[in-house]
Order: sequence, then structure tokens, then C-alpha cells
Amino acid sequence: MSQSVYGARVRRKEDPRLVTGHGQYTDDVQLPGLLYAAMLRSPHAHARILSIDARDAEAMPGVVKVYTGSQLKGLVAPIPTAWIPPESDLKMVEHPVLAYDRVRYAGDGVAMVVAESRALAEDALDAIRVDYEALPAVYDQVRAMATDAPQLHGDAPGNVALHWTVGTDTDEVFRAADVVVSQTIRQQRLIPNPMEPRSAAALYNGATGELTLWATSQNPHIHRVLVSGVLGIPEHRLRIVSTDVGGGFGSKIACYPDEVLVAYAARDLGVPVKWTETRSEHFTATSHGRDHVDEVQLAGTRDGKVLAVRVKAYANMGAYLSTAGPGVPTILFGLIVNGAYDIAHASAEVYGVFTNTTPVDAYRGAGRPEATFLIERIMDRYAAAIQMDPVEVRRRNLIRREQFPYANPFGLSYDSGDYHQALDKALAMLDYPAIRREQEALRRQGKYIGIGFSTYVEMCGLGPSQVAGAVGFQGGLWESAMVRVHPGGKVSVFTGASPHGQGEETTFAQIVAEKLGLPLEDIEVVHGDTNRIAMGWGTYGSRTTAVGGGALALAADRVVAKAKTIAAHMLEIPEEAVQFEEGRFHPEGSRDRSVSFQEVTLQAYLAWNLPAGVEPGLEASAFYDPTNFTYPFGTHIAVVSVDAETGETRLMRYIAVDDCGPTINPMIVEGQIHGGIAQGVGQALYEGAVYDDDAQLVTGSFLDYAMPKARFFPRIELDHTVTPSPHNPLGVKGVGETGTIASTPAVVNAVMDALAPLGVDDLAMPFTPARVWEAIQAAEGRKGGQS
Amino acid sequence: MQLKGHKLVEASPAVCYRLLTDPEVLVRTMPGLKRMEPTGEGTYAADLEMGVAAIRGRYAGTMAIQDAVEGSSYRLIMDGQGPGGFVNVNMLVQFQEAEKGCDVAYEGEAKVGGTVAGVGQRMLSGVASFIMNQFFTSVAKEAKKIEG
Repeated sequence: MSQSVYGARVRRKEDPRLVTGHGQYTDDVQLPGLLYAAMLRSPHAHARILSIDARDAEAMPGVVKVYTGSQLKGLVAPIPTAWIPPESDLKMVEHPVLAYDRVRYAGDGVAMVVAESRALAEDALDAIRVDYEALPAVYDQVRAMATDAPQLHGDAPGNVALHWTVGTDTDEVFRAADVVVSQTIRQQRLIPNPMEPRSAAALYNGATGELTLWATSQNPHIHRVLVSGVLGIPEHRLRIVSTDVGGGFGSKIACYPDEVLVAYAARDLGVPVKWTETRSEHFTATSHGRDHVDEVQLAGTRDGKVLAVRVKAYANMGAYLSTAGPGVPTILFGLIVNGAYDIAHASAEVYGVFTNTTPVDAYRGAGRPEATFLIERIMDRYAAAIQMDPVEVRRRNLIRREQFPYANPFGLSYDSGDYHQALDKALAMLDYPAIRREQEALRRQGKYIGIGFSTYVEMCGLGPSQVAGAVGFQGGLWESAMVRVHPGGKVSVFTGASPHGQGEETTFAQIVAEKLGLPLEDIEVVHGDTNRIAMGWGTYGSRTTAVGGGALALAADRVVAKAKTIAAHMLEIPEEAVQFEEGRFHPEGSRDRSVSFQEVTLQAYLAWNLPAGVEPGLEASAFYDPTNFTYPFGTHIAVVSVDAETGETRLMRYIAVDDCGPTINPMIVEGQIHGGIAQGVGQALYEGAVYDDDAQLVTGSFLDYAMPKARFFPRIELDHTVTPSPHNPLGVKGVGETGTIASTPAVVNAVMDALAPLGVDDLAMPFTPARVWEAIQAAEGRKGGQS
Repeated sequence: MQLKGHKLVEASPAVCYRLLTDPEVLVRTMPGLKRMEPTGEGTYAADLEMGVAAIRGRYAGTMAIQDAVEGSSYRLIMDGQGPGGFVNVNMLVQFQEAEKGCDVAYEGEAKVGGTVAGVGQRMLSGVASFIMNQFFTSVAKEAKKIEG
């Protein structure tokens, strides 16, 4: 073999299938006799259900059955949450698959129609008469905690879902500090929008009792655990299939009522049933992200040393607890509020609050973007307060290379890194002194540009399982892999991680190709099917390459070890003398005699002449539990111009220097960073869910919910540093979320830098032209009043 | 969503009042109103066809005329449910003698819920004033027939 594919810009193996319409998405499932489901959703944010009359709907031609909440109560268990943070007093309120007495958000399921076609099912929804008694509703988490607020759940007084504190005592440090800066920050609610909406299809075999559920899931094995519990179908008779999933960004982690209902109907009717949400439905019925109101405080010295940071957060949980919902604003947020800085004292206090809104769960970054935003914003405030350059403040506080492994105030052990190196590299790409001079010159012409920094770190590669247990995640966080070499030498790789757009069919094949010395096209990666893969925990938290790839590396090593034993026997030399290079086994130091990997494989299966004690066949599994999280880091710099006349922000330059450890496929890594940055910029400048006073979602379509478009971006300037993580066999750190985590504060800091001479010092995201313009006008008004 | 506006109709307040409380006239003049049948004193069952942005369909509901002061004012209460969600309207309608006829003023609030709120609520007030304008133009024509 010639050049190694490991570390190369190999084109994605999955793309020809996906871009030519040959993917196997859930909505592609076609089965004989397939029926279609449609969900009736509450138009009220909060109401009592007085009665439901579905007789007209059931009498319509083609309608097979209408299910309501009261029919299913007792037959289908409520939807559970899978993250119970310890000592958070989490209120695990009932989340019925269909509301039976009360609806708690606009979009809450009320009835399901099953009919012979999708159109008939949707038409029948209009014929169901629901008599509601509207109740007062609340969408804002701070208002929901007021004594006179509408109450959502009898067993969650004051709408408090959880109250959690973590960290060291900071009061004394704050009392004694020379400088204290504070800010209240709203991190607006975002609506994840993968290209593929959610979908589910179910087939029940009455003779065997087996149920197959195709579902748009990031984690089919977690779905199997949860659906098994909710419907009482034992795991060996329940198969979850998520072959191709068109993006998730966290919104396809949760177990939703919809897939449970579809499975229930298929079993109940003995006929396969399919459901696919509409985009409008997606906006209200699929989990949302972020939605924090945070108070952040920083204590420091006058010469730029941060002494302490503390955060009080009010996190909107929505109407019910989503699957990973409670873990996001606690564990994934609170434990890292000190960011990339060496801060001795830090604490976080979090309230999770029920409101009459769509449930909130993980959204790309999940908790870490919120934490990073706070520390990166307050660092800029601190820099301004002590009149120091924001870069210099960061430089003085970033964890130094010699401090790794670094124990942060919450007990996390940051693995490895050289944060200053990434900062210096990014600054060199920018030419910092030059851009500051340009900024000054432009200001004199009445033009405003700003430079914003984000020197972030995040924790990902979620695992090990012992930590999962300690933080209340109701599952393990190891990963499984199996490498099966077929008699002809082709390889099937089975992974328990369930990639859905991240390109692991390619990167995982690259890992195995490197280990086995085989061409990439001989390796196929299988994922997303609980009948083909025994167990796994799925893709989220940038864990797949670190943990799933780690498992795969171990499994491939085991295959090579066995092949080596057989090769030694074939070559009639001691095993220690066998060398494996470029797909061939040969005696150390001599290539005259050798056997190929394929020849060894064939012998493993023929088993005509195996060494004593060696079993036939050539495959190996690994169940890999990492020793710790991984901590990718880097420096992102945004340069923006703000038009003071129109309030419009334009991104002029975007520089990202990231360290995710060694890269297996730089093209895929860059793609992840590009997409991540775009999503983070979306929060800074464009996106935001808006509810009206009756808790109706106003931004329920792309007409009013602005997603970032490619044309909003300049060429993104990328570079990287490479610090392997000691926490997994490949040394990789994860890169799926870094862009989103880093870019929101970089852009916001840049806009605030641009607006500083205009007197604007506080502004809530997203920075739409209208908002920026109003802030400029208000600041000018204040100035006018003073003079 | 706030609803507010007024329109000059070339007819006396008494005629305007009569037209605007007559189900037959309303079905003829109100865009999308397909049916309006009395169910009691000042209450009606109504069917309305509406199309706002992506939301189209037939809304079934009730209309009620309350606090009626003959020839002067009444309060219009509408509750409708349809495929896109619900629409509730609570609006005061006043009739005042003007130089060239009657100034009909309306003021109130419309609440929308469900998809209709999420898809195009931003455009709804524009749509509402467009519909109101169409409506009053038709009413003015009816008035002309009577007065003329």
C-alpha cells in the first residue's frame, strides 16, 4: 500500500449515497399496508381539557383509529427523563404521551389519528373537537418563579424543577476584591433545525412479539431502553433502527411521545404505522435549546488577575423534563464556568424552571456555550473596568502549559493543552496591532469595527461511566465497537455510537484502514441498528470519535493481534518475530517471505491449520470506557463592522485556531468547525425564539426565525495546534461543538467593541439591525441628556 | 394583537348599526364569513374561511353581540377554532354621526394560538386591517343601496 489514509483529506464515503437520494431515512420506510399517523397538538399554551369528541374524525373514510390521552392513561407509561443531577431536588413530573387533563404548552400532544394516508390523517385532525378551558400561561422562567405565577405541576411548587449548587465559597474573595464586575445576561432560546424533521415508523410482528421502530434518533440504544420501559416491550424483542439521520444537533437525543405513540399504534392495530412531523410542527414539538437568564460576577485585582467567578442561572426547562434536559444547565454548564482560566474560586447556583413552553434539551454545545458566553463576556467587562486590553487580561489568566493536568475549582481535570500557543497563533493571523490601528483610523471617519475574542475550553468526549453515574446520567458513557473481517478480507465495522451527519462512516473506516493496512473501500461502517449492534450510547457531546473511535482502535488492535498469531504459525516463526506493515506480515527485518492480511484471514476461516488453542474466525469487540472527559480548546477572533446608520452587523473576518488533538480527516474536522461557527454566530446575530404574552410561539417558521445563511460569512480562516489527549487511545478531543461554543462570545465581544465609542455597553442577543440601531439611539439620547 | 381603526360610511349611524348587526349582510360583506346562524339572543354560530401565510382553512366558532346600544355601539366577541389553531376577538364597535355619514370605529384585541400564532403572526395585523378595509368597503356599498 502507498500513502496512509489516516490523517488524510479523504472524501466522505457516505456522501454519494446521501446526495443522490439513496439514503435510508426514517421517512423512506415503506411497508405493505402502512398507515399514517398525525398528531393533534394543543393551540393553547396552558388549558384544561374539558372534553374531546373524536366521533366525526373516526367516521371519516380512511380513518382507522383516533387515540386520546385518557384512553392511553395507564396503558402507556409517562415519558421519563434520563438525567437526574444529584442533590438537585429534581421534580420528576408526569409527562404523559398525550395530555389527558391539561395541556402545558402550545404543541403539547392531545390526540393521534391513524389513517390510510397522511392527507386523510391530517384532514381528520380538523374534525376532532376539543373543548378547552384556557388557563393563564407563563413563558419566562423568572416570571414563572413569582408567587402569583400560573402553576404547571402540582408536585413542583413555584414551578421550580431543580435547584443545584456547586463550587467553592466565593463570598470572602468577593468582599475583599479590589474590582468586582457584574452583568445580567439573557441567553435566548434557540430552535434547533436539522434538515430532516423527526419521524418514526413501527412494525409489529404479532406472532413473535417483536417490534421494529425506525426513529430519527442520535442514540438508538438509549431509545431502546426508554421505549422498552414506557411500552413494556422487552429489549430482546425491540429493535430500533436509525440508519440515516439528517442531523440532530441535540434535538434527536430525547425520547419523544410521538415515536412511542407510533409504536403503540402499530402493536395495537397489528399494522405498520408511520409519522413524520412537518416543519411547523417541528418548531413547537421538538426540543429547544439554551434559554438562560444568568447573573455573572467576577472578582479580580487591578492588575488583571481574576480571583473568583460566580454564576446564578435561571434555566428554562419548558413544560416537562426532556430526556437530557436536567443535565444541560447543571452538570454541562456549572462545572466549567471558570472557562480556560486559572481561577481558584468559583461557584454556580442553578434554578431549572417549568414554563408553558416547548421542553428544552441539549442543543449543539449543551450547557458549555452558555458557560463560555458568561466567562468570555465578563472577562471583557473586567478588561474594560481595569482599562486593560482584553487579550492581555486573557493572557494573564489562561491556564499555563505546565499546569496540566489542571484541576478546576469544580473537580474537573483538564487533560492537556497549550492555550497561550493557540492565542498567539490566532493573533499572528489577525495582525492585532494593525487591526487596532485600522479601527482607530476608521472611528475618526465615523465607521465602527470591532474585534472580539473567545479563548475557550470545553469538556466533551462524554465518558467515563463512573462519572456518568456520579453526575446522575441514567446510563453508561462507554462505547462499543466490533471489527469483523469477512473470509474474503473485507471488513464490517459495528459501532454503538450513532453518527448522523458527522462523517464517521469515513473517519472510522480511516482508523480501521490504518490499523489493518487495508484500502478504505474494503471497510464498511455499520451503525444505528440495535439488532446489528449489541449496545452503545450514541452520538452527542462530541464523544463519538474520542470514545467510539477509542473502542474501535482497541477492537482493531485485537484483530491484528490474532492475525499476527496466525501469521506467525503460517510463517513458522515466533510471534514476537512477526512484523505487520502495509497489510503484510513478515519476519522482522526481512520481507522475502510474507503473508498478506487477506491470506491470514482466509486461513482464520478455513481453520485447516491454526495454531493450538486459537479459535477460528477473525473478529474482535471492545467495550471501551475512557478514563476522563476530553478538553478541546482554542482561540476564536471575530472582526465585525457595525453600520451606525442602519444597525447592521457584518462579519468581516473570522479566525479560529482550535486544538482537538490529532485529526483523522482534516476536511471533516474543518467542516465541523465551519458549521459550528455558523450555528454560534446564528445565536449572536440572527436566531431567537420569541413568545407572546400568552406563551404562543411567534417565531414558528423560517419567516420569523432567522437561520444563518452561507452568504452571511466571510471565508473562515482556520488553523490548529495539536495537543493529544492522554484520555483515549487516539488522543483525539472532539470537535463537533467547539465552533458553536466559541463563536457566540467572539462575535458578541466584537460587536460590543465596535459599539463602545457610541456608549452602548449592554445589549441582548440576537444583535439584529433593529436592536443595535435602537441601542445606538438610546445611547445617543443618554449622551444628549448629559451634555 | 391590537385591532384598531375606523371608517367613514355614507349612511346614518342607525343604518350602519343595522347593517353591522344583520347576519345576512355580514355574510355578504365580511370576507371569508360563510355562515352565521342565530343560536340565541345576540349569539351566532359562524363558519369563517381564512388564509394567512401558510395557514388556510375553515374556522368554526361562535359570535356574540354584547352590550348592544341600538344605533350607538356594541361589543363583538368571536371565538373560532380551525386547523391552524384558534382566534379570539373582543372588539368594541362604535357608531358616531359624522359630516358625511357615520364614523364606524373599532377597537379591541385579537388573540391567536397554535400554528396561526407561530406562522405569520407578524403579518396578521396587516392582514386584519386589509380585511377590515375590504369589509367596510362592502358595507358602504350596502349602505349606498339603502340610502341611494
